[in-house]
Amino acid sequence: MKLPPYWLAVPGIAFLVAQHFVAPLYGAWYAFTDWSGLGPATYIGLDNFREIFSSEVQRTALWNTLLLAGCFVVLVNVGGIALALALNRTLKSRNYLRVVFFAPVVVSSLAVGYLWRYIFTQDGALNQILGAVGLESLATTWLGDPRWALWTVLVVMVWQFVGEAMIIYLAALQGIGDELEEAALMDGAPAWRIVTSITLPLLAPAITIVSTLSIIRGLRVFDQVIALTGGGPVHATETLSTQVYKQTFVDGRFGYGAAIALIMTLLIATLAIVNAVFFRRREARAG
Amino acid sequence: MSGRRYTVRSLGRELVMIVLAAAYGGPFYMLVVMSLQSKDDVQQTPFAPPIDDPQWDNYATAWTTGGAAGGMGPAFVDTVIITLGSVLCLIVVSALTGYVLARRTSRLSNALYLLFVLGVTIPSTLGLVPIYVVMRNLGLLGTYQGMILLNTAMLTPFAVFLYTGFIRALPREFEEAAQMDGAGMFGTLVRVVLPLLRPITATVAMLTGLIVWNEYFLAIVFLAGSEIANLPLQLNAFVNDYYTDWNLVMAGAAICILPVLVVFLALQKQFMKGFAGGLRG
Amino acid sequence: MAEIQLIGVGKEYPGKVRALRDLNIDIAEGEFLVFVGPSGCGKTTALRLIAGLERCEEGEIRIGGQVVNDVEPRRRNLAMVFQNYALYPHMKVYDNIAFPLRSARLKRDEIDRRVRTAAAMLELDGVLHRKPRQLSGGQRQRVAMGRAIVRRPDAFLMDEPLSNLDAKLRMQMRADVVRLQRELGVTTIYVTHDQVEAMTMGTRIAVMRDGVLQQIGRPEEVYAKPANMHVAGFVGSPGMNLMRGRLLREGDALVCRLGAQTVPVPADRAPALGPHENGEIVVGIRPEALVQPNGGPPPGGELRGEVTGVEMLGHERLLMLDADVPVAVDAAVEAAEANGNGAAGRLRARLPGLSGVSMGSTARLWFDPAALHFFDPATGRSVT
Repeated sequence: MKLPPYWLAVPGIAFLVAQHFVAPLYGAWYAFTDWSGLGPATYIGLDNFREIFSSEVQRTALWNTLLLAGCFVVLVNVGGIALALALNRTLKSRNYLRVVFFAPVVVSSLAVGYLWRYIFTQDGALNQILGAVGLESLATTWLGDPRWALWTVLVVMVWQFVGEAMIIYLAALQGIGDELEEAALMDGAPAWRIVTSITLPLLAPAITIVSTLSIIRGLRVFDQVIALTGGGPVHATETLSTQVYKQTFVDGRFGYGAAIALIMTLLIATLAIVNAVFFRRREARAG
Repeated sequence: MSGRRYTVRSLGRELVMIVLAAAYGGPFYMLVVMSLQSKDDVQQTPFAPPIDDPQWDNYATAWTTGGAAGGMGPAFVDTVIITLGSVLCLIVVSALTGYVLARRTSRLSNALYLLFVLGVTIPSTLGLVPIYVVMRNLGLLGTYQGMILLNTAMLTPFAVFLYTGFIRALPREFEEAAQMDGAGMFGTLVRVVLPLLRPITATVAMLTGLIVWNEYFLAIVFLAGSEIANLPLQLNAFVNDYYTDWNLVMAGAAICILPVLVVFLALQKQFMKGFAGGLRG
Repeated sequence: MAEIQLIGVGKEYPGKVRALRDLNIDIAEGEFLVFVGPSGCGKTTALRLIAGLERCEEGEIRIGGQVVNDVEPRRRNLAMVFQNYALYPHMKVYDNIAFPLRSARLKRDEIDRRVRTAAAMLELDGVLHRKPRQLSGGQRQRVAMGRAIVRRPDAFLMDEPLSNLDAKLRMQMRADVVRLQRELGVTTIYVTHDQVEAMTMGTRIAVMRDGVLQQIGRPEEVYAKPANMHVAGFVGSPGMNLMRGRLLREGDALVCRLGAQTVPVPADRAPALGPHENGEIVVGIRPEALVQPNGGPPPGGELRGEVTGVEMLGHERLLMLDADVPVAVDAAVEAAEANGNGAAGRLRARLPGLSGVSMGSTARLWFDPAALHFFDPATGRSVT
C-alpha cells in the first residue's frame, strides 16, 4: 500500500517543535537573564532564582500552588469515584444527574470564578444561607480573609471538575462490567467489600489518568484565582501562574517571570511523571 | 430476611442524589435568576426569580459596554471567529500529521509520536514569553491570525495524539481497497480516509473548540489592549467596570456561560463520551 | 445441600417483555437438572432468579423449604459459575478461590485447607500463584468451578460454563463436571443451549422455549417420548424429521399420506389417533430410525427421496433427502434451525459409515412404523 508522504506532517511537526520545544528552551534561557522585554538581555546567573526563594510572595505562590493541586487531586478523585459509583446503575434519573454534575466542566473557569465570587462575598449567598439557618457566627469575609481565601479557590476548582473525573470513572466502571460484581455477590461479599476488594483495584488505571490530569490542572490554576481574589488579599492566594503573568506582563520583568515559569514547568513535569510511574506500578500489581 | 429491601433503599438513594444534584446546580440557578434582577432585588432577594419584571436590560448593557472591544456582543463575534479558525486549522494540520504517524511504522515516526505525547504532558507556559516576543515583532499581537496560529500550535500535540490513536485502530482495508480500485494517495486520503475520520474529528473539534472558547490566560496576554477580545477576556473587563452591580456581572457571565451550556445540553452524550474517551489516553 | 422449588415463577421485564411464564419445578437434593433451549427461552432468567440476581416478583422460590424471594443473593448460600467465568483479574488463582471464604470470615488455616483441596480436585495445584490472564480457557473454567465448590453451598448454579471452550475441551470437561457433581453430591442447576450437553450430563432435563417449560424428565424419556414438536425437533442430533400429512383410512388400518408417499400407522396407535382421522397430522421419525434396505424383510415403513447431501462423519453418514414431502413448519422449523437441520423440505437420515449412497441417486429407506411419533398440528403436542 502506498504510504502517505512525510511532508504532510511537516506543519504539525513545525508547530510542535516551535511552540513546545524551541520556545520553552528560549524561555528557559530568559530565566537566567534580567530581561525586561525591551533592549538587551543580560545574563545574571541564578539571581532570579535566589530572589524567588527569598521572596515572601513567591514562596507563598509556590506553597499555594502545591497545596491547591494536592488537595484538588485527592478531592476530585474521591468525589469522582463516589459519584460514579452512585450514578452507575439502578437510578432512574441517573442520566439527568450525570448532566448536572458534568455541566460545570464545559464552562469557562473565569466565569465560574465570578459566579462563585458572589457566593463568597460578604453579603453573598453563602453568608445569607448561613444566616438563614442560624449559623451567622460562621459567616465571615471568605474572600478577604487570608485564612479562608485560598480554600474558596479549592472549592471552586473541585466544583467545576469533579464531573470530569466522574465521567472517566463511569466509563471505567462500564469497562469492568457487571459480571464481576455479580460473582462477588454470589460469593457472599457485602457491598463495601465488593467496592474495596474488587472495584477499586480494577479502577487503578482510571485513577492514574484522573490523577495525572488533575495534577496538571491543579498546578496551572489561574482563571479562578483572578476571578475570586485577583491574587489577594495581600498575595495570600497567588499561584505560580498568576505570578508568571503579573511579573512578566504587569511588572515587565520578563526574565524574572520566565524563572518562575521554569520552576512551574519543572514542577509539573516531575510530578506528572512521578504520578504516572507510581500509579503504573500499582496498576501492574493489580493485574 | 426482611422484605422489600431492594426498593426502599434504592428510592432513598435516588432522593439523596437528586437533592445533591439540585444543590450542586445552585450556582447556575443563581446565575440566571440574578442576571435578570435589578440592583435592589439583588441586594434584598437574590434567590427569588424576578418573574414580574425581568431586567433584560442587564443583558443589553453587558452586550454593548465595557472593555476595548465594546461589549460582550463584539467579543462573542471575535470568539466565534477565533474558535472556528483555530479548530479548522488544527483539524487540517493534525489529521494529516496523525495520518502520517499512524500509517508509517518506522522508528522515525514512532519517535515523532513520542515527541507529540511529550508535548501534551509538558505545559508550554515556559515558551510563552519567547512566543510573545516573536508575535510582537511580527505584528501578530491582538490579531485574529495571531490567536489562531497560537491556538493551533498550542493544541496540535493533543489533536495529533487523538488522531494518531484513532487512525492506528482503523483497519487498513479501506485504504487498500481504494488503492486496488485505482485511487492515488490523495484520492484515498480525501475520499476514503477523511470520511472515516468523522467521529474523531467531532471529538477533536469539540474538545479543542471548548478549550479555545474558554481560554483566558492566552487571551489576556496576547489580546489585551487590542480591540479584539474573546468572551472570558471581555467578561473580565466588564466585571472590572461593574463589579458592584452583581446583576450586571451575572448577565455578563451568563452571556459567557449559557451558549456553551446550551450546546452541551443539546449534545450531552457526545460531550461526555468525547471527554471520557479523549482523556483516557 | 438442599432441594429447590419453583412455584408459579414468572418474570416480565419493563416494556412488556415476558421472559418466563408460570414455571413449576421441584428439584430434588443432589439432582443435576439441566435447563436447555435456544437463546431467549428463559433458561438463564430462571437461573438468575434462583440466584437472586434478578428480583422474583411472580411466584415463589424456595430453597430447603424456605421462601427466598426477598433474600439477597449473598445470603442464599448458592454458588454460581458464570459463562465468562467472572474471575477477578487482579487476584491470583489462590485468592480468587479463597475470596468467598474470606467474605465468610473463615480462619486462615481453614481457608487454606479448603482452597488446596479444591485445587487438587481440579488439578489446579500448579497455578495457584498465577493470575487469570496467564491461564488457558480450560484452567480458567476450572478456577471458576473451584470458587464454587470451595464454599460447600446448598446448590451449584452454572450458566453455560462450557460454551467458551473449544469442542474437544468441552467434551472432556463435560465428563469432569459430571464426575465432580457425583462426588460432591451437591444439587446442581445447569443451563445450556447445547442439547448434547443436556442429554449427557443431566439426571433430568428441562426443555424451555419462549419462557415456557416444554417438558421435564430424564434424558431417555425426553428422547423417546417428546411431549411436543418443539422438543422432538430440538433433542437429538440431528433432531427428529417432522412431516405434515393427512390421516386416512385404508381398509381396517390407518395410513398417513405425506405428499406423494404413504406411511402406515401402527395398530396400537390407531385409537389415540381416532379424532384426527381424515384430518391433518404431523408425523415424526428420527434420522437414526431410518435404515437402508438390507437382505431381510421390510419392517413396514418406507420413504424415498433424492439424495441432496452426504456428510461423512467417519463412523456414520448424514444424509439429506429431498423427499417431496411437506415438512412441518413453524415450531419444528425453529427447533430444526436451532439444531442445524437446515432448510425445510429435507429429511435427514443417519446411516452407518460404509453404506454406499451417492449424490443425486434415489435412496429408499426403511423404518419400523413403531418408531413413528404423531403430533397434533394445531397444538404441537404429542398424540400418542
